[in-house]
Amino acid sequence: MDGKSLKTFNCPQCGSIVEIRAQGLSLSIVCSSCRSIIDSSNETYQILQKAQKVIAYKPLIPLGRRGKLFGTLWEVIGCMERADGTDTYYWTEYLLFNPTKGFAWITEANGHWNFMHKARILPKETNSFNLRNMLNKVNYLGKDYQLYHRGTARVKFVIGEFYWRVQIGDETKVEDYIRPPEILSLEESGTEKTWSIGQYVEAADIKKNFLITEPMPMVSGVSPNQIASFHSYSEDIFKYATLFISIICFIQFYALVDANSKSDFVESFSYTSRAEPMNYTSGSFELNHQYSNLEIELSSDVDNNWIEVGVDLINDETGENREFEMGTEFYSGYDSDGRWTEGSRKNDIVISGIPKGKYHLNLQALGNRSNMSTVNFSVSITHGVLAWKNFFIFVGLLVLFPLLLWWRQRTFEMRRWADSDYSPFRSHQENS
Amino acid sequence: MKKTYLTYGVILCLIYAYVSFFGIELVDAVETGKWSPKGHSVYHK
Repeated sequence: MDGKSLKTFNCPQCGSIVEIRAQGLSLSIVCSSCRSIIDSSNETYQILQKAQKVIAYKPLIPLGRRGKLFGTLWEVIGCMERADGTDTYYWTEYLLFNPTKGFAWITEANGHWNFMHKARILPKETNSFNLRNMLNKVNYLGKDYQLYHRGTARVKFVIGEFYWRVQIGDETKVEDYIRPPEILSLEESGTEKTWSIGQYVEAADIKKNFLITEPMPMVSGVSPNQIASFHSYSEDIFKYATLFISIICFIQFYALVDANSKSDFVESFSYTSRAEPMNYTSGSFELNHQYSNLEIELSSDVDNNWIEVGVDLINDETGENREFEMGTEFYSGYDSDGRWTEGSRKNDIVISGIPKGKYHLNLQALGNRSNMSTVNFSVSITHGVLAWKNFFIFVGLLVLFPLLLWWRQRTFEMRRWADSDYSPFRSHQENS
Repeated sequence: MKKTYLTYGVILCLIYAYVSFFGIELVDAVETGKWSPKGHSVYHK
C-alpha cells in the first residue's frame, strides 16, 4: 500500500483514466467519470454495465482514503449503496483492501457502523427451536447468534472496484444473526453462500481513523448489534446487588436467631370511668439483651367504648423514662345492612433500642366519662421482636439502582428488536 | 458507576449492621435525627 504502483487504463466507454487499486484481485471497476461498470478481470476491459445516468454521489469516505481499524491499515477501494427488498431501508458499504489481509467492509446504516470480514469457518445452522418465539440460531466458533433479519438486498449504486462482477440491480438473499457487538451475515446468490462476521464500531472511531471532515450521518435508533453504554458495568452491578442483599439477609437472619422473641410480662388492670385518670404501676421485668426491641400490646374488653392509656417505661436503675400513648376503641351495632363493627379491642406498638436493665411501667388510664361501665385491660410486653421495616427499607434501597438498570436494558433491547420480524419482544410490542 | 454503587452498597450494609445491632428503627431515627441507641424510638406496627 505504498500508493505508487496503481495500474491505470482508459475507460472503454468515455476514455477517462481508471485506476486499479487491488491489482489482480478486482473483477469489476466503476469508471468515476461515466459510472460504467467495467470487467477488470483481464486487460480487454469489457463494459459490464453502461450507466443509465450519471448520479452525482460522493461517498462520505472518498475512494483511496486509508484508515486503521483493529490494528490494520485499510484502503477504501469501493463503495456501494444497497436497499432492502421494499426499497425503504438503505445502507452503505465500503470495500476495504489491504495487500496482506485481503478485503473487508465497513457498513453504515442509520448512522451506525460495522466492520465486516469473511467468516473464518462456516457457521453451523443449529436451527434450535424456541417454543415461544420460534427463533433460529446459528453457531459460529462456539457462540450462538440469533436471527435478526431475513430478506433481500439490492445494489442501488456503485463506485470504485470490487472483487466480483457487480452490477446495479444485483439482488441477493441476506440473513443477519446477532450477538452484540457482533453480527453474522449470510449473503446467498444462486448456489453461492458467503458468511461475514462483523463488529460494531463507534462512529467517532470511523471519523477519526479515516480522517473524515464531513459531518457524520445522524444516528437514529438502536443498531441490531449495538452495545448499550451501560453494558460494561450492568453485570457487575447485578452481582454487587446480590452480594449486598445476601449480607443484609445474613444480618437479619442473625438478628432473628439472636432475638429469641418471647413474652416477658403480662399484667391486667381494671378501670372504672371517672373524671380523673387512674394510675397503675406494674411489676418489674428484666431485659437481658444489650439492646432490645419491645412490642407492647394493649388489649381491653371495651364495647361501644374507648380507653386511652399513657405509658411510662421506666428503667429501675437509671430512672430513664420513655413515654408513649396507646388506646383501644370498639363500636358495634345493627343497621339495615346487618351487624357492623368499628375499631379494635387490641392495639400494639414497638419501641426500639431499649438498653438492658430492669424496668417497670407506670400507666395512666382515661376512659369515657359518660359511660359508667368498668373496662378491664391488660398490657403485655414481648422483647426481641424484629424490626422488619428496616430490612425492607434497606433491601428496597439496594435494589433501586439495579431495577432501574434492568428497565433501561429492557427498553434498549426492545428498541434494538423493534424493526425485526424475529423479535423476542414481538408479542409484548404488539400488545403495547 | 460501578464504584459508586459499590460504595453505596457498602455504606448501606454498614448502616444496616449498626441499626440492627443497636435496635434502631430507621424511620423514627430519620424523623427525630436521633441515631444513637438511646434515641426515642416508638412506632405503631
